[in-house]
Amino acid sequence: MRHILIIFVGISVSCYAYFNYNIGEPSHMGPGFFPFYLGIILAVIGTTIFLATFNKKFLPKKLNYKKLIIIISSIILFSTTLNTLGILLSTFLSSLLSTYANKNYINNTSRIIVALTITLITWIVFILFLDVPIKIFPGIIT
Amino acid sequence: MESILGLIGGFNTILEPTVLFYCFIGVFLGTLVGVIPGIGALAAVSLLLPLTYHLNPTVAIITIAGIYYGTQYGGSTASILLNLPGSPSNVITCIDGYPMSKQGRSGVALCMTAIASFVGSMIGVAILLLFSLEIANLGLKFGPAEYFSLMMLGLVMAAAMTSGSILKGFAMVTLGLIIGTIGIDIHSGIPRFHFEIPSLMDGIGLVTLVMGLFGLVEILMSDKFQCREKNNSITFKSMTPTKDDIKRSVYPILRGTAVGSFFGTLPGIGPTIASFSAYSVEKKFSKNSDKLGTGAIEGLVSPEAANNAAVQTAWIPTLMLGIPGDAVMSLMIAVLIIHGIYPGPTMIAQQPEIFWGLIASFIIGNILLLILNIPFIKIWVRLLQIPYHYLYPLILIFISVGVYSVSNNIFDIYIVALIGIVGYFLYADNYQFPPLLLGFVLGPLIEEKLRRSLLISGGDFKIFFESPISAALLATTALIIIFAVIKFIKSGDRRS
Repeated sequence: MRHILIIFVGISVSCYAYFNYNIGEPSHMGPGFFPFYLGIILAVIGTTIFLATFNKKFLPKKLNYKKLIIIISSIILFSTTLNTLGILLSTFLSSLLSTYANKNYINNTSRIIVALTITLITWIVFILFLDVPIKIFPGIIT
Repeated sequence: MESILGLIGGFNTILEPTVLFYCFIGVFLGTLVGVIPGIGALAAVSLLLPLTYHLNPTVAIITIAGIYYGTQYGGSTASILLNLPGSPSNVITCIDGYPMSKQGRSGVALCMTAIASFVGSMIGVAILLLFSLEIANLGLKFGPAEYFSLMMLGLVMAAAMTSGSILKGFAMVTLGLIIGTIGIDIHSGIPRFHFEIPSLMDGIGLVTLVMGLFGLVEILMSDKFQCREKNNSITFKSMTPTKDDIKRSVYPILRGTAVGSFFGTLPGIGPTIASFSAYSVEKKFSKNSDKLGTGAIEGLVSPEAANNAAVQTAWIPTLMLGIPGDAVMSLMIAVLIIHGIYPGPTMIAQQPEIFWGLIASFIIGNILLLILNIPFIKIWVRLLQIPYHYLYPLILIFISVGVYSVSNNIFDIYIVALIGIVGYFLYADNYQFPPLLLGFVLGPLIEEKLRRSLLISGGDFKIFFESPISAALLATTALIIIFAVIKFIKSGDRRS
């Protein structure tokens, strides 16, 4: 039943385009012209999908919410700490967090080792090799 | 002939040390990442894309192209040794490759694969050369209306050809087109859908989108590599194929190349479908068709030749017409556009150095791969033995840092996370992403062509039917849509 979201996206895109941008006419397309009609098309397609799958039993792929939350959180952790803590600490913390998404780690020590290794590799590839302009340590300007 | 002159010029470009070096890097990294199961060509190119951003256009596209066909080579290694396809187009390789491995003939399998891939690529490149100038001449007759119809055809084919429901393919194309409108509208200067966020004024970046959809979602969906047996070491001696092997492989390789070359040129169809089709052709035409599936060398070399040929010929519509041959090609088009190069019928005339340099790089790159694969196989095997749960956090960091490094913008990382979440739910509902990517890449172009056409015609839609080329393209588009809808109604779409 998540197909309804597609319809919703289509309709909202069209509405937003309609109210905020000039639609114009075919000979003089405004900025809203393309998105407006695209939104309608998307809503129509979404409705067709919805109707077509209405009667079928819904067999969703198994969703691992825990994994989703942990992995996404690790990325958000990275982005929020990148500028304050520097890339090395940021990498360490977020990769450590991401290891908790998987059950195959024996103990926490192996997780820490992996996080450290990843931090090392990140340092080698992105700082030494590629010279990415980013804070390395907290408080130091590159 | 013009082509030969152009090609010689191309060799001039590629044989410069820097360019050659980057071609090698591309090919090497591509094979490396391609070997890792679960990371296909698309993810490989996406992950390595930021590395090429600061190179000049010629080198950048040569490197990325190298990554692409490198992953095809690398993917087959994983398929043969571990029964784990490195990328979707290598699935077929598992069928006869893995049994060969179990029979202790992994060395031979790897060697023959490399040869088949090489032959497939070379013949693909030859076809590319033959067609290049012909299609370029045709392209001079293309005005905005023709381009619009051509792109519509490309989008519709991409939506129809992906696995899963065709309607969902259309939905994804449309969604991609919509996402492509985020950012400043070139024509009016008005920013669209940016919600007062400055970072969104440029729209969502290609790297961001691609990393999110193909990298993040991949990690969210995967659990492990499901490694089974560890393989014994591979010596040089065990790699030489017997005379019988070679004799039996000649026709399958040629058949596979023919199938692959044909399918590669069709927009929306890529190496995956090419390799599947080559296998079915082999089943029908091979003398030893009953042995297929048990480790017959025919079943191994034909699809391999096919997928490499397809990878090369996919450049024909991509470069000549500006229509992506498959999802990775749309990435290539995007890279070119970012560097200010617009693939299409005028590309050969306006930027011959890049065009011919690229083609020459295909030849050199494939030779490099052939040489690379033989000694480096042991390294690849070692790599495969790293458990997945050690690798995925590294990939996550690569995604985060990679996305950041494009425009030094933290906000991009948030966007990647959001795309990952949305993509995860879409994927769970059997929506495929390549059509979305195509829509995203072609969106701004299609809009511009549409606008120009309607401007010329004064708002009259008949302009799309007045020219024979445009009308023919639109008719084909309509046919595909009708065909798809009929198929959809008939099957009742069990795969909802």
